[in-house]
Amino acid sequence: MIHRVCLSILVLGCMALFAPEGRSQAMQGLWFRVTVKVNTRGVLSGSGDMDGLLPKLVHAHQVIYIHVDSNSTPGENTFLYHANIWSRDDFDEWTQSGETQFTTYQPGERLMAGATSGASDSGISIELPTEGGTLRVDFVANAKVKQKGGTTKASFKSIGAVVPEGSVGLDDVGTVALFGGATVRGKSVDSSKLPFDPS
Amino acid sequence: MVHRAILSLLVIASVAFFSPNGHSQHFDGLWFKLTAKVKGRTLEWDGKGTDVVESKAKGTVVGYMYVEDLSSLPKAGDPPPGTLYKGTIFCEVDSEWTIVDMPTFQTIGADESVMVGSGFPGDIGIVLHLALDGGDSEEGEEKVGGPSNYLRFVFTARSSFKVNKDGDVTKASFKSFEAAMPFGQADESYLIGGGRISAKSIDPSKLPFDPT
Repeated sequence: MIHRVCLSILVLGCMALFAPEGRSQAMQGLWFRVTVKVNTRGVLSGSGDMDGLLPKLVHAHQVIYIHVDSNSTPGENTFLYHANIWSRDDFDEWTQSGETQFTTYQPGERLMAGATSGASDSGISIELPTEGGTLRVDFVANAKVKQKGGTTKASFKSIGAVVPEGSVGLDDVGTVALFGGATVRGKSVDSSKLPFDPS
Repeated sequence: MVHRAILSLLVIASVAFFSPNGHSQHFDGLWFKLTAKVKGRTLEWDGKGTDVVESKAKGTVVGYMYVEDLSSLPKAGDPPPGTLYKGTIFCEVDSEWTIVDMPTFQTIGADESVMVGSGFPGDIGIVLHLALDGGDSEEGEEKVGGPSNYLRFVFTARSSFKVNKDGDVTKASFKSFEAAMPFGQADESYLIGGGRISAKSIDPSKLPFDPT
């Protein structure tokens, strides 16, 4: 038999059971505290013969907040959410710095993917400020949602994340382009626990 | 001093400098064997949205890519700053080697040491698709434009080359820093997750198909 291109899928565990339909769209209105850890390589660019890969990894860590403010049901099995991103600016003030969209697969909302969840999708895109630049992270994530007594708690963790572009200004070398991978974790928080007043 | 945003960067070692930019278009005319190792989740459902099953999944997908230099093409708008290439990706589908994607990318840095997206709209990062075996089609229809079972990857990569005294590339390879797999489809399942993509140049005589 001809050797075929293959994906040997190993089902490692038992099938997960999902929450009933009544739990759907549970992320609407939630605030998430999100930790982004990036693991990138820096590239000097624009300096001719000095261009090249920095010899060591460039690590970074940042906390942002995401507020899920609307949703819709574009597909039979998916929910589409819109969210605003809050991060600290150059003056250490929390500001709404961007927005994003993501899809969850129902029932159970166990997986989070990009807004189009299809052939043109790059994942959930978030943009973070860096000193002298920005950093983009595209990711997909596993999610958990728990509802009890009218309270919803949710969390997510990336299962695939990439830094397709980014930049930062370093005092001694100038602007460095950044590329690599990342880990993104989020956990819902009560709005009273936010370090800023979003109103 | 004002505490600045926000990304606490730690450059572990001092900056080293690099080999001079003596060669370019290293990728032009090379064939690569691509190997994608993926790890993620699958979703299967019965079409009614009520019987969804999530499973962990991992596996390996193989394809071949031919690379051509596109830097001589006229560029509109803001041209990418690096050396621009086009890849042609072949995967085996229903026992036939088929072109499944034609991604573009560019190389930056001295000696083309980093591969990134082409800079064209929609190509932030290198975006490519690899086919899974057994793509399907509706009864009575021919498959057009590649199989319907595929994995979509977004990544950037580090590349390396061996060059002989004449300046010709004798070996080349690249490996993704990380790769996200934001979407994939295999028959009735959806797949998302991440992984790594690696590639080594091969002599065209070693290809498992005749590309002519």
